Parts: sequence; structure tokens; C-alpha cells
Amino acid sequence: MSVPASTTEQTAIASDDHRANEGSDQLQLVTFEVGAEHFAVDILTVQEINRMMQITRVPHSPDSLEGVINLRGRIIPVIDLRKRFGIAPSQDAEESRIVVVEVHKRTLGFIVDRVNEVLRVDTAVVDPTPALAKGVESDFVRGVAKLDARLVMLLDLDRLFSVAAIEDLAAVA
Amino acid sequence: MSGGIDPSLLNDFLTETSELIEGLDSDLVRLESASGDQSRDLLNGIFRALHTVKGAAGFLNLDELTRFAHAAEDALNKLRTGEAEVTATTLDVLLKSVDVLREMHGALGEGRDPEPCPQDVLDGLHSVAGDEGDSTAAASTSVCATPTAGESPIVLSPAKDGLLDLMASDLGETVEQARRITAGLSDTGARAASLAQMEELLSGLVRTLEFFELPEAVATAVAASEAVSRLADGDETSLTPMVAAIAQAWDAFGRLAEALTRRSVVDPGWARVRARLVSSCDEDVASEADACVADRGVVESVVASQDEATGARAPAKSASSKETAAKEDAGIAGQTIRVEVGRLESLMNLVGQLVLTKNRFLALSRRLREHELPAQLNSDTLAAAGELDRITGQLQMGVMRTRMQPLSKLFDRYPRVIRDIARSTGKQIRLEITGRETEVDKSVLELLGDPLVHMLRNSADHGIETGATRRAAGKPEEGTIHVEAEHCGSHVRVIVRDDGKGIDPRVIGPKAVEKGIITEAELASMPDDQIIQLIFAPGFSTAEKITDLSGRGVGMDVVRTSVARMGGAVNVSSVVGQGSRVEIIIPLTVAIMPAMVVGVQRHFFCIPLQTIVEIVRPQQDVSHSLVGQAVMKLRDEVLPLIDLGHTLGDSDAPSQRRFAVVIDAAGRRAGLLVDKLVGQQEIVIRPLDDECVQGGPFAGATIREEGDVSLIVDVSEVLRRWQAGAASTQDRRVA
Repeated sequence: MSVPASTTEQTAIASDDHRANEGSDQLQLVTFEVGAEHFAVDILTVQEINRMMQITRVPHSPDSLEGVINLRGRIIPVIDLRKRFGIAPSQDAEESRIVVVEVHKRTLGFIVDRVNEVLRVDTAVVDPTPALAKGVESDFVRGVAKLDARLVMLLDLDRLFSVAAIEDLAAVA
Repeated sequence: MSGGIDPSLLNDFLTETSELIEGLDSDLVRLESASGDQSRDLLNGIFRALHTVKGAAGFLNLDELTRFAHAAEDALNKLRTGEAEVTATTLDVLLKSVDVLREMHGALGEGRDPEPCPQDVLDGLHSVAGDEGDSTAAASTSVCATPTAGESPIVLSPAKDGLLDLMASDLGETVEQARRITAGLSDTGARAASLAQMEELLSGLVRTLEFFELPEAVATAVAASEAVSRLADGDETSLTPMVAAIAQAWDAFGRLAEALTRRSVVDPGWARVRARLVSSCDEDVASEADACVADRGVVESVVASQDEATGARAPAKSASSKETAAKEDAGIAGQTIRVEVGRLESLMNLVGQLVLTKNRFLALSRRLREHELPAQLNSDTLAAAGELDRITGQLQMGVMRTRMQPLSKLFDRYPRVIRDIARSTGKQIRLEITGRETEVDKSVLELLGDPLVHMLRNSADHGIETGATRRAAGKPEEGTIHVEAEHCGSHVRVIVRDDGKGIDPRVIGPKAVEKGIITEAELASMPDDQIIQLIFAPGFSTAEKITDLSGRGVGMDVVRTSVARMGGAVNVSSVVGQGSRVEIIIPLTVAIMPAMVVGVQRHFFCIPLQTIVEIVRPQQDVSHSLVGQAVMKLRDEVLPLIDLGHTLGDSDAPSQRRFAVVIDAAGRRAGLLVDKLVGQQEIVIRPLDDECVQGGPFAGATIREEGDVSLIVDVSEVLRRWQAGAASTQDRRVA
């Protein structure tokens, strides 16, 4: 399955807003929530978004690694972003999704609480210096997009899911 | 330069020549010990292979490769004609040039331009060939650029231009040889041999002419080749006119060669020459030869099949009784096709998914039985499911068989490996290989390559002693290494054994303690046969000095890891002073295997069936605790019990597990405690290739009937980890 149907409407609105800026660089982002925060990733890195499925735990693997799933015959690792960001586990998994991305030829999935919408934003809206993001998280934030009343953090997937980063976290935990 | 080549042509070239280059190594090593007829046959074979490589490279304008192959060919020709001796030094040079060829070949395969060949190797080749300078330079000075009457200047692409002189002088040499051979055609006694040589020359000639882009001449060469092969097949009805026609054809090629040295082309009446060649053959061949002119593609395929035919017939010339067999071979060769590995891979992948889907379908059909359905529908579904099961099984076998390759693909490289070691260490080593025809899956073959070479190097480098030491020990000076392979059930057993000094537990033990692999206390209680297994521990290397040959920082642990990855086991045994024996047992295929699905708490794991000896229920009263270690008595054996839940890091409280799966990893047995036995299943192995999911004792993962993922337990790794863990527990207890 793909992005929930309700989001297409919002996408249309978003693109209308920016039609005036046609010609300048635009980014298409998939936005989602983990805990109280809003995040986004470049839509080009996203392969698909799935409902939660059976995840098989892999003993002796880093903590934030939730396990592996069967993606049409391929076995790919799935990382829990809550654990990755050190947020307490969610009670309600009804709207949780597995976002499957390709980073440096690795295909992996990450669990988010809710997928919101696909946004088309002007690169100018993205502030590359994440002055507002604090702590560990700032390492993985590529920029902050100011949209209406909220701030959406653009994730740097390369850094977020680099093996070293995942294992460091395991060592700390 | 290679950028301008049609990629598919280059690919064909690479596939064809890689086999030839691989063959060169083993032929050259065999040449060293061969004599008389055998040696001549080998030399001819090697020469033919080099010539083909050169011809094909010339056709593709691979300048560097062509020049080098030419130099090597010159050197070989001297050996072939007996003007130079086959000595260890000559062979060193020739083997080195095979390395250079392989390196160039590899570069082309990776899309790079090959490096110019090293001057020392070229000098070596020239000194074998007996020339002082560069023969190509000599050839180019003799060029006279004024075309004579009836000739037109040749126009070739700039890339080919550089090779023109070389190819022209090559053509001249070919014609010279052919004239000598033609004389032998009328002689009944020498005819068979002359015809074989002639066929060889003609197949080379076709390639050379293709280089010059002269379709008329190519067609004539093809026609001549047809004529010669008809003679070789024993058609003597029109012997005399045919020989005359062939001689005339060579005259024509001679005129062309002469004109080419002046950088011009001439038409010596190709059509007339061809007509004579064809009129002595029957109608079919005539039309076929004409068709060749029309379509270059056909020319190539005809040439290819002739190459095969020549290859198959060449060994038969010494014994005519073999001829029929050789012809049959040629027939079979005609019925094989080359398939890109990628296509087989994707086919295999699809079959893998089909097996999984079939498994799910079977599970569903079983569940259906539990529901209230019309009896007829139920039994029909079951029948269909059964049929699907059977056909899938056959399909799987069929696809699997297309991927089977003989171990000779690996084994044939070893004589060279051993020879190099023997030469550089001054040892005398004989290599004996049996079971090279044993077939295994392609992926197994690939995975087996490195571990086997490593074992072999170890035997040659560390196992076999120097001649003097061996003599002092009362052994023959020449050491022997045996490589044996055989099928046993669904597995292949490969054994590397030598009659060297063996593996001394009194050396291995202290070394392992020194490296921190085991403690002093553990060593004291270890039996010798277990101590020598420590050579497989990571970071263990007994080489006292790091030699060029082994001890490159990768030890026998690489062997163990690779074999475990294939779901196999490795075992070493040794008698000090008498030699050592390393045995590898691996499944024929690594893609699909039967496994037992077991449950531990709420998790499911697959244990490869080949590692399972039996499954028992450990009774409370027969599980003894030996120094804090749970053990089980199975008939006369006492086996340690390993809680799979604990090993896999489950923090849940230990429960009383109900089953003990008795496993065997290279002779070491233990009982794995599990909660549930789900059942046997064909599993398709998927790699756990992402780095962040590695690190556990798993050989991969599979998808179960239910569609979820289940991990495949690597039992030898579980055993190893358990031993390491048990050791540290004991340490703590002691401390």
C-alpha cells in the first residue's frame, strides 16, 4: 500500500501554494510523526510505506533494531525510530507505519507513529542550520522546514542509519 | 580504447578467452612433467589457445593484448618447433605471462584499459623466442608503402592501423606454414596430422582476415576450412582436386599477405578460388558458404563451431579409435548454449519464491480440511496441492541442475598454485587430485574457492617439509598433497590431506593461550584432537614468519566461517610427523535446504536438517549437572545441553524446555534445548546481508509458510559461542 489517500488532497494544496515559485528548486517530502515531533524525508529515498507487519527479532543485534521483515521475498532490517531517538515506546500502534527507504544501496525500514502527508516545499523554506534542534537528534537533522505553524525536521538518513551510529547507540544503551 | 568496442562483442570475447586463459595455467604446469607425444599435444593446445586469444583480441582492436599474446605465441612457437627447451625458467616466464594476460583480461572486464605489459615479462618472452629486439618493430621497418599495380591501399580505422603490420606479418607466417603442411596432404601416412594442423591454421586465418575487414577473403577461408574438414572426416572421393584447390587458396592468401605488407589489398580472384573449393564439396556446403558471405554473423558462428570441432578432434589424431567419441563430443557441444549467469540467478530466485508460495499453499490446503467444506472440493484441493508440490519439486531440481558445475573448475587451478609454492620454497611437492568431475551448485563452487586455496597453501607452506628434513625423517623427499572430492548423499565431501609434519598440539596449545583464545586451565583439560581444532579460531596463525604464500592475516578461521556460511562443517585431524587432513562437508546447494523449525518461547528458528542427528526428550533424571553444566546421557554418550533461548540472548526466565535437538557440527555434538517442534520445512535461504543484523549465530534467514521471517541457526557458531561462554563462566567460578 502507499501513502494514505487523505494526504493527496493536502499535497495538491501544498503544490498550489508554491505554484508561484515555479522554476525555483523544490523538494518533495514525506512527513511523519515520532513522539511529539514532526519529521520528513525526501520522497526520492522512500520506496514504499507499509502497515505494521510481523517483525522477527534478531538476537545479538543493536537495540534500536526492531528486527527483520519479509519485503516480498527480501529480508530487510527494520529500525524503531522511537528507540533510535530514545523516546518511550508508544502504546497505540494503530497508525504506526513502516517506511521503507533506500540509503546507499541498503534497503531498510523504520517505524514511525503516523505518516502525515506528502509536501512540496521550496528549498528556501528549509533552513540548513538546525539551530532549533538540540541534543543527539541534531546529528541526524539535515535542515528544518518552517511550515505554517509547525517545524518539520528533515532527516539525514545516511547518518541516522549508518551502521556505526546504530552500534554506538547500542553501546551507550 | 576499449570504450569504442561493442559491449556485447567484448563480452563474448571475455567469456571465450577467460576459459582459454584458465586452461593455459594447468596445461603449462602439466607440460613441465610431460614428455614426447603428450608434451607436443600440450604445446599445440597452448599455442592454439594463445592464437585464438590473439586473433580475437586483434579483431576487437585490443592493441596491448594482441601484442602481448603475439610475443607469448612467438616464444611458444620456439618450444613447439623444438628450437627452445621446456625448462623451469621458461615455464616461469610463460606462467607469468598468463598472469599478465589474466590481468589484462580482468581490466577489460572491469571496463578499464589494460596496463601495458611489464617489460621484464616481455624480455623473458623474447629471450625464449630468441630474438634480441622487439619483433614488431622489426616487422614495421620492412614495410614499403608503395602499392604495385592491381592493388588498392587498405583503409582501416586508426585503432586497427597500429596492428596492421603485425597482423600482416602474422598472415605471412601462416601462409608459410600452410604451404609446408599442404605438401603433407597428398601423403596418406601424414594426412590426418596435416589436416588437423590445416584446420587449426584456417580457423586462425578466418579471424585474421576478419581483422582486415575483407569479407571476400573471409568467405574463401571459410570455404577452405569446410573443404579441409570434409577431408578430415574421411571423404576421399575427390582428394586430388580438393588438395589442389586448397593449395590454390593458400597461394591466394599468400598474395594477399604480400600485398598487405605494402599496406594494400589485392583481389587474387576470390570468387574463382572459392568456386573450386566448393565444387569439390557437395551442394549443401556450397550454398552454406555463399550464405556466409551474405551474413557476417553467420560467419562468426560457423567459425565458432569449427573451433569447437578442431578442439574436439585434436586429441583424437593420435588414436583414431577415439575419433568417434570426439565427434560425439562435438555433437553435444553443438547442443549446448551459453546462458548469462544473471538469468539463471533470477530463475533460481523465482523458483525459490515458488517453493515458498507452494509451502504456504500447502499449509492453507491443510487448514481448509479443518473446515466444513464439501468432501469433493476438499479432496480436489488436496490433490491439486499434491500435484503442485511434486511439480515444484521437479522444477526445483531442474533449475538446480542447470547450475551444477564440476569441481574441476576449481581444482584445475591448483597445480599452478602448488608449483609456485614449490618453486619459491624449494620444496618438492606432488599434487594428486581425485573427483574433479564431482558437481556442485555454482554458488557453492564460488564460496568454496577461497577456503580450498587457503587449505592447500597451508598444506604446501606449513605442512610439507623441505626435502632435507623429510629425508632425515625417513620420508620420501617429495611431499604429496591429495585433494579429494566425492558426493555423499546431498552433500559433498572435500578432503585436503598431506604427508607433511602434521599439526602439533604442543605447538598449537601454548600459541592459543598466548593469543588469549583459551586459558591455561582450559588447555590442560583439552584432549589433543580438540586442541588442533583451535587453528580455526579467529586470529590464530601459526606461521612463524609471514611468508608470501599464506599468513596474509587471514587464517583458518576464514575457512571455517566460509564453510559455515554454506551450511557446512570443517574438521581437522592430524598425526604429528605423518601429516594432516582437513575435511570439508558442504551441501550440494546452498540455496534451498530442508530444516527443522523449532520454537523457543514465542520465537521460531530454523535448524538445518543436515546438522540434526536426532531429537529427544531429555528426562529429568538423565540430565546430570556436571560442574554446573547441564548434560544429557544419550546411550553411551554424554552430551552438553545448550539452552537455545539463553544463547540467543533471551532474558526471559529459563523454563523447562521440552525437547533436545541433538546436533553434530564436524564431529562435536550437543543437545539444543527448545520448547516446540513446529515441523520440517524446505527453506529458501536469504542472506542477512545488512551489517546491522549480523553478529548473531545465524547462517541467514528464510520466509516461513506463514509469510513471516525466521532465522536460520548456525549450529557450529552456537557451539563455538557456547564454549567461549562456558569458559568464561568457569573462569568466574575459579576467580
